[in-house]
Amino acid sequence: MLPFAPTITSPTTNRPLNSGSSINDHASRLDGELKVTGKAKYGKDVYPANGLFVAFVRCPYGAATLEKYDDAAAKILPGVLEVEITKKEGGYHGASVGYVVAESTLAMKRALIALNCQWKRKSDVVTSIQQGMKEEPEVTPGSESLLKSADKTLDAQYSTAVQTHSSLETHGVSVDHNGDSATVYASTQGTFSVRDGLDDAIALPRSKYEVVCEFVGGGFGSKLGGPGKEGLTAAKIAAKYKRPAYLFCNRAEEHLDTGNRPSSRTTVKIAFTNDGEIKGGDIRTWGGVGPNKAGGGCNIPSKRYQLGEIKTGHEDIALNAGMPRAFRAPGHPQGAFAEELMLDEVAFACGLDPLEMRLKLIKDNSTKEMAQMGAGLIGWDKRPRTGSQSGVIRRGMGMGITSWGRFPSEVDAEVVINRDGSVEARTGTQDIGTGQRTIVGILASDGLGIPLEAVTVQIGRSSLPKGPGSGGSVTTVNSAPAFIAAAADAKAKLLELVAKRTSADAADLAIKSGEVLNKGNKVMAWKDACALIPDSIKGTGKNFSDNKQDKSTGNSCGAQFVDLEVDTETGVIRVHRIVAVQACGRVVARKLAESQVIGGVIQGLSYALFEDRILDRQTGAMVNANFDMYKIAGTRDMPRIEPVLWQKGKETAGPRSLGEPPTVPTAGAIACAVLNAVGAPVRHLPITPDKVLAAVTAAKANKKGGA
Amino acid sequence: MKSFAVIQPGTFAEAASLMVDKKYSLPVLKAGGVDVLDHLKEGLWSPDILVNVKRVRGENGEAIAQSGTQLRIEANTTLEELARSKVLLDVAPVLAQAAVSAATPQVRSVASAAGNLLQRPRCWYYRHSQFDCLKKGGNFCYAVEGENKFHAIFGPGPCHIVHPSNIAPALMVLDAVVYVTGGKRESVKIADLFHMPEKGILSEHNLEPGEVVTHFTCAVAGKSGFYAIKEKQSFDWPCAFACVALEVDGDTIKNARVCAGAVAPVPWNLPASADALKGAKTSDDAAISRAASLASQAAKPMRDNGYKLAMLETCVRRAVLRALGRDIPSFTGGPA
Amino acid sequence: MQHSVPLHSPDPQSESTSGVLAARVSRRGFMQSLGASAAAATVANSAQALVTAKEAERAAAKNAPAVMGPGPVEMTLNVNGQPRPIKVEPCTTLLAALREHLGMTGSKEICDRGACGGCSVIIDGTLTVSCMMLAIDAVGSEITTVEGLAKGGKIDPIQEMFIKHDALQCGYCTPGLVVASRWLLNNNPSPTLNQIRHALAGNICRCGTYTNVFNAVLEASGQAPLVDGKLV
Repeated sequence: MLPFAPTITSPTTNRPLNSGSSINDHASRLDGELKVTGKAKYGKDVYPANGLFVAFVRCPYGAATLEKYDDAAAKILPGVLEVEITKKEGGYHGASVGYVVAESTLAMKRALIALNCQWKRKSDVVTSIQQGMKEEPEVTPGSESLLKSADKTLDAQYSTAVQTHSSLETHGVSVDHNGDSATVYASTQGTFSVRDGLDDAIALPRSKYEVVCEFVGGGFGSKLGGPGKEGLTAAKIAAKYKRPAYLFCNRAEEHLDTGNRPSSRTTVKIAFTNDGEIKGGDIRTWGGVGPNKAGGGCNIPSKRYQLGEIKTGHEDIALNAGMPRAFRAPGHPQGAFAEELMLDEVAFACGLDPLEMRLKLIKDNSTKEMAQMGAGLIGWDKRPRTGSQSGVIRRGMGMGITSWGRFPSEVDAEVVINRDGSVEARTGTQDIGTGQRTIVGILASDGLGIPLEAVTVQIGRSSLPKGPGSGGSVTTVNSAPAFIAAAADAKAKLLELVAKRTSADAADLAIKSGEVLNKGNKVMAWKDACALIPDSIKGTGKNFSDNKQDKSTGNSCGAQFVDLEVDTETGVIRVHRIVAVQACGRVVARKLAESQVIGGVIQGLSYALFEDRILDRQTGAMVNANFDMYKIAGTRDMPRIEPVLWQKGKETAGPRSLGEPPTVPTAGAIACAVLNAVGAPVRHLPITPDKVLAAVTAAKANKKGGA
Repeated sequence: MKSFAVIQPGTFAEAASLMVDKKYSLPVLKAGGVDVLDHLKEGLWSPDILVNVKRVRGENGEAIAQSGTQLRIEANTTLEELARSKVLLDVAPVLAQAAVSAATPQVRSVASAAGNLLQRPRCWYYRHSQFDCLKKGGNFCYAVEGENKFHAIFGPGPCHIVHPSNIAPALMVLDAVVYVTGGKRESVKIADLFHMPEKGILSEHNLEPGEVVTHFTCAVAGKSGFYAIKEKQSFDWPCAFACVALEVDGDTIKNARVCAGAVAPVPWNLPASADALKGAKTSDDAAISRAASLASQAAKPMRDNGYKLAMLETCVRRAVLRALGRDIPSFTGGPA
Repeated sequence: MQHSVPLHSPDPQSESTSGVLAARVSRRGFMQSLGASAAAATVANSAQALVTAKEAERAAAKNAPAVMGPGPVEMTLNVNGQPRPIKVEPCTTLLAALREHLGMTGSKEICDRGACGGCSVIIDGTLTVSCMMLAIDAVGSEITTVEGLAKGGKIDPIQEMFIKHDALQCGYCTPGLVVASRWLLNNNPSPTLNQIRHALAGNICRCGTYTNVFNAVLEASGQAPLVDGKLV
C-alpha cells in the first residue's frame, strides 16, 4: 500500500469567477507529490524480477495474408521462450496474429525481427467512408416538400477524421505471478472489470489474485472493457510459466489497435425561414469503423436545438482499419461539430447573429443562461460580421453547446475511523487522472468534519470495495452519494460513542474542523473522541445502479465560446481564448473540476485543428502511427482557457457528470469561428491550413455580406 | 533493435577511415543520434557497428566562429547552439531562425548541424519498413497514388520526398561550403551536396562512403530571413519554408538569394525570384510579391499538395520582409 | 563476442599522425586476428596488456578508439549525483537503462521516438530526450532525472507549484514537464509566457494540463499567474 502524504493546499487566485463554488475550493490532488516526483508507479513501470516480456505479432497492412515466417530463427535466439502464430489473416494494420515471449525486452524485439514475417497484401482495402459507402441516399419525401417550399435551404456535407485516444501510458498489464498467487498491475479504467475477466486466463481463484491500478496514464474510454487481449494473453502466459509476464503496447500499437473515435460523414439537407427557424429536413450520418462494422455513431441532431421535422439515418462503413472504442463522449463531438457549423451557416445565410438565432432554438433554459454568460465573457459584441473582413489577419468568434446525462452505477464506499484518530476512505475504483482519489478524500473529510490532511485514501485495488469503471462520466456522480453516506454512517457511529460517554443527546452533537461540538460548544477534540473507539468504526455507503433519487443531477449542460484569428495567407489559425461555461452541480473540488473542463476543451481543440489517423489508400496501413505526424496540440497551440463552473443557486443535489460534456462543443465552436473569420466554412476536420486556404479562396469567389 | 558494437574515434579523420574499413559490413555514422536511432528503432538499418562521433570536437575551439565576412560552423555544433548564437542572430539571422524552427528544445540540444544536413527524409513510406519503396531498393513509389499531402511539388520523380533539413536552404543562400575528410576532395559546395532522385535514389547527398563532414563555412548576410508555415506550432515539420539573403544598398536590393525547403527532394533554389528582387526598392511591395509569385513556377503538384504553391509564395514574400526588417502580418500578441 | 573490456592498450608512441596510423594498423590487424572466446586468452597472452573500461575511455580520448559490444558493456552512469554501474548492450538507450536496469521509472516511455518529451532528462545542464540517446553517450556526464529534483527531503519549488496549480491529471507526462520546466528556470529564472511555451513545446500532455503548467512555471519564477478574463 502506498502512503499518501497530505499535500500543499493554498488558495489559487487566478479563477475568481469560481471562488466559493465547491465543497473544497483549494484542495490539491492528494497524489500530486507522488506524480511530480516520479514516485507514482503505473502498470507500465512494474518490471517484476524474473519476468517474461510478451509482444503481439501484427499485420502490417489493411488486409494481408501471412505467407511465411521463420519461427525457428526466432526461437533459437537467447532468451526467447515461445513463438506462437495463431492466425494467418489480418484484416487491418495492427491486427494480431500471434505473440512472442522472451526474457528481456531486447530478446522480445529481436524475436519479432527474426520471425521475418512475409505478408502478401490484398489489393482491396477500404480506407475511407467515401470509398466504402454506396450511393447517396434519396431525400425523404417529407423533407423533399419542406425543401421545395422553404425560404432557404442548406445542402452541405461535413466530415470528421478518426481520432486515436493516444493515452500516454499505453494499454497493457504486468502480471506478477508465481504460480500460487498473483498481483495484476493493469493500465485500466475498470479495476473490477479486469478482475472479472481474468479468472480463467490467470488460473487462480479470486482469493489468490488482486488487480492493482493505483495510477493510470490516461484512458479516455479506451481502457474499459476488462483485461483486453493484452491482459488475457499476459495472464495466460504468466500462469503457464508460473512467472511474471509483462505486456504493454508500444506507441504504434497504441494508435493501431486500442480503439479510436471513428470518422464521420454527415449530410445535411435542411429547410429554414429567413428568420432562422429550422423547419426540418434530412440529416444523415455515416461512421468509419473497423472490419466488424460497429461503433460508428454520430450524434446529430443532438436534441439540444429545435430543428423541426428532421429525418435521420445512419450507416457504419467497415474500413480495413482498427475499430472504434468509446472515446470521451462517443459520437458527440462529431455530431456537435456538424450541428454547430450547420447552424452558423444558416445564420450566415439569413444575415443573423448566430447567438441570437440559437437563443431561439435552444430548448434548455439553463443552457440559454450559460450561453448569455459565455457571450458576455468572450466579448461577443466585438464579433465581426461574417464575410466582412478582407485583411490578412481576420478575427472570428464562434460558439457551441453541450449536455450530458447521468448514468447510474453501483458503488460501495467505506469510511473507516481508527482508534488513533486516523481515517481511511476506501474504494476499489481507479483514478485515471480525474482526481477520484482526492474527491473521495474530500467527501470523507467534509462528511466527517475533519481536515482533508487527516484522511488517507485507498483506491485502485480489487480487494477494496467495489466501484464503477471510469467511463460515461459516472465516477464522481455515483461515488459522491456513496461516500457521503459512508461518512455520515461513520460519523453517526462515532457520535453515538461520544453521546454515551458525555451523556449527551446524539442529535445535539456535530463535528466541525476536527472538534466535537454539543449544541455548538466544544466538548472534545477529534483525537479524544476516537480514543473511545474499541478498535475501529466502519461506515458504509452504497449507490445503487438503479438509483432514481437524484433526477436533478442529470443534464450537465454547458456553452463554449471561441475567439481566434486566421492568417488568410498561410491558413494558420491562432486560437486566443476559449470560455467554457459548464454546469457541474455541487462541485467537490474546484481545482480538479476546472482541470476536467480545461482538459476536455484542449482535446476538443486538438481534434478540431490537428488530429487525423491517416491510412495509405493503397495498402491500408496507418502512415502516422507515432507522435510526430499524429499531431496532438502542444504548448504553442494553447489559447487562454477559462473554465466557468456554473451553478444555479446553491446546488444541493450533488455533483453532475463532468468528464465528457466539456469536450463536446469545442470543435464546433472553433469551426464556427473560422467561418466567421474567413467568410466561408471549412466543413472537414481537422481544420488544417490547406483547408483554410481553400475556404479563403471560396470566400473571395462568393463575396457576400452577412452576420 | 539488433545488437551492434560502438566505436568512438577521437577525430573525424579516424571516423572516415572506420566507415570504409572492410572489417565492418554496415558501419553507420552517428553524431547526435536522433535520426540514426529512429532508423534503428524502425528496423530500417541493422548496422554491425556505430561509428560514434558525438563527442568529436573540431580543431576550432568554438562551435560558431566569425572571421570577417565568413562564418565557420563545426559539424557537431547543435541546432540549439545555432539558434541561440548571438553571432548568427546578428550577421546571419536566416540560419539561426531556420535552426530554432526545427524540432523541439530536447532534440535541438543534441542534434548536430551536419546531422541535420545529412538526415534521411521524413516521407512516411520511407520511414516504415513495410513499404518496399524506391528509396529502399524497391521498385515502387507509394507517394504517387498514395498519401502525398506532405510530398514534393517540384521534380519529375521517380521519388517525391521533400528534403528534410531546415538549415540546408539557409546554408544555400549563404553560399556555404561543406568541408570533409577521408576522401579525395577537401570540400563540396552546398549547391553540389544534394542531388535530385533521378540522379540517384538510394541517398540524397553526394558524399562518398568514407567522407565525413568536419565543418562548414558560409558568408554572412545581415539582411537575411527565414519563414515557415506549419500546421501545428508546437513541434511540426514545415509544409513549406523559404530562406532569403539580400544585399541592400540604401533603399535598393542589389542582390538576392532565395531557396525553399519542404517543397522538393533537394533544397530548392529559386533563381527567378532572386533575379526579380534585384534592383527592387525595399519598400516596393508589388515587386516583392511579384518575385514571390515566381517561386511556384514549374511546380508539379501531386494530388493533395497543390496548397503548397500558395504557401511557398507567402513564405518567400514574408522571408524577404523579414530579411529587410519590415513588418510581417502576424497574430495579435505576436506569433505563438 | 562477450567482451566488456577493450582488446588493446593505448600505444604510447602514437602521438604523431603516422604513429596513429601505424598503431591503428597494428590494432586493426590485431583485432582481426581475434577469434570468439579465444579473445581473452589471446589478449592475456599478447604483449599488449588488458585495460579497464576507464582506461579505454581515456585512450579513446587520445587516439585509440575501443570497440564496445556488441555484447553487454560495463559502464557507470552518474545519475542524480550517484555513480550507478550497469552492464548493458551498447544498443541500450539511456531511458531503457534508467527504467529497466536501474529501476528508475520516473522517466516515462511514451513514444520512444523523441517526439513527446515524456522521457526528458537533463544532461550536463542540457535538456534532452533519453529515449533517443544511447546509454554509452551519457557516460561521464551528470544526468538529472525527475527523481533527482527533490533535495534533502524537500520537493523542488517547481514541483510544489505544479501541485498547487493542478498542472497534472493522470500524471504520465508530468515528470517530463517538471524536468523541462526545471531546466527552463535554471537557464531563464524569469521567463515570459512565450518563453515558457517555447521551452515546453517538446512535451505532449494528452489530458490537457498545459495552461495550468504555464501558471505553475510563472509562480515558481516569482511571477503572477495568468488571471482569467484578460486577453494575452
